Amino acid sequence: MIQIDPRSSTPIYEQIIQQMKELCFKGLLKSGDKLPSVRELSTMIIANPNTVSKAYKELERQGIIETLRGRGTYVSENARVSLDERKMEVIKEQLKPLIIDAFYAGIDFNHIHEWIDEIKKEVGGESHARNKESHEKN
Amino acid sequence: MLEIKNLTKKIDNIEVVKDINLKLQSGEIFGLLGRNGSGKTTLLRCIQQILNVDQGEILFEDISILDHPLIKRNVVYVPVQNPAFDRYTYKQLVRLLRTIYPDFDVTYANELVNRYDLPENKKYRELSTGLKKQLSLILSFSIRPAVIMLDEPTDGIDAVTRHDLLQLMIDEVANKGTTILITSHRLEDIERICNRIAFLEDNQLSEVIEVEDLKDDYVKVQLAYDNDVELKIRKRGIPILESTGVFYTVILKRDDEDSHEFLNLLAPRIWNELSVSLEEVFIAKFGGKRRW
Repeated sequence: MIQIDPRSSTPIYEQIIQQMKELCFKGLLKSGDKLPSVRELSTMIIANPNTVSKAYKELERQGIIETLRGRGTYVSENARVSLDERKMEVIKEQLKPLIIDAFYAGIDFNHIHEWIDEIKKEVGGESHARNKESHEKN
Repeated sequence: MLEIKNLTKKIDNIEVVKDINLKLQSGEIFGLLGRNGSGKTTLLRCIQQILNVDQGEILFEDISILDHPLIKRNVVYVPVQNPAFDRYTYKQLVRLLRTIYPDFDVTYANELVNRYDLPENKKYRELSTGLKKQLSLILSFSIRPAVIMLDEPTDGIDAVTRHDLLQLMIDEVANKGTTILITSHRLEDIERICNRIAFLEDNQLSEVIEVEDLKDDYVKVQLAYDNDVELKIRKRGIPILESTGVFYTVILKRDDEDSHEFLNLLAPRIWNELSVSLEEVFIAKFGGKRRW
């Protein structure tokens, strides 16, 4: 479920947070799904339990997951809509060198807007199809 | 929890560990790092009273282990090798340990031995290095100590067994709240499982580092200079991880503004910041002394 990259510049607890969000965002984790406990996840990914606990606390604070006492940790109802600012900042930074390249390659910015629309259609279409498929399975 | 106060140990009148202060928190995995011969094992052996302490205090829950030897039962030491086990099978070892530790958990030991499919009727010395380490670990955990000190538990072990061992340690900490003090040269393991670390350096303990903060506290900088500035950088005491031609890779503390400024004034053509691993911090810390 979660893959820790020890070489990454991102601390392990942030990797957990990001990947959990990604799983929710892609619909691989749906609201109401039960998550492994801190103990289970730390053993699974071989990470310090304090680190996993810290990640869960942060996810909880952001309203992505919720812990029901004695019942476990679940993906919360509004998990899909939340997109934190930090992730936006990261994506913006990743986009920058591409835009600069495009500029020096003499690409018309209108093209880039068109590409964005195209990709948006692809992603939107795909996730829609995936949702439909999973509904049919259920 | 376990607290070490001003601990000094001399061997042949030389201070092998000097004025060590360390306070473990309950349920943590603390990594004790240092080069070979830096005194890590000596420190563990002092805590376990295999070696007499020349000066200082070792407290468990505020009670002195030195004055109350029975308290020592709460702290178990797993050495790199365990020749005392050699002549016994698993079953005999369980019987032996039960007489020493009345609370020894036989059910738990059996469960783990089954889970990892360890031979019950082979003598310890007939087992491979990996199985030996695994069995020592299982037996030590089954004593149910509050603190367990592991000396290089994952060094010299194949990838599959290492994975099992690490999982076993995490499981133990997460489920039983055991505190682990671990030494290892496998720094990628340490970085993954420890929440705090400290270096033994010149027989003394460095400041304690929160592993989560490591990537925030240190930065690896790739530099390129037109002139040969290697000597200047070295003289300044900035650890160079690598230098090839005009390129230098250095490790800096992020808050070390003086070094940042110094490197900047040398007018680098490239200044590229990358994230560090514990291994790189270790090499920067100790590799330097050897080379200059």
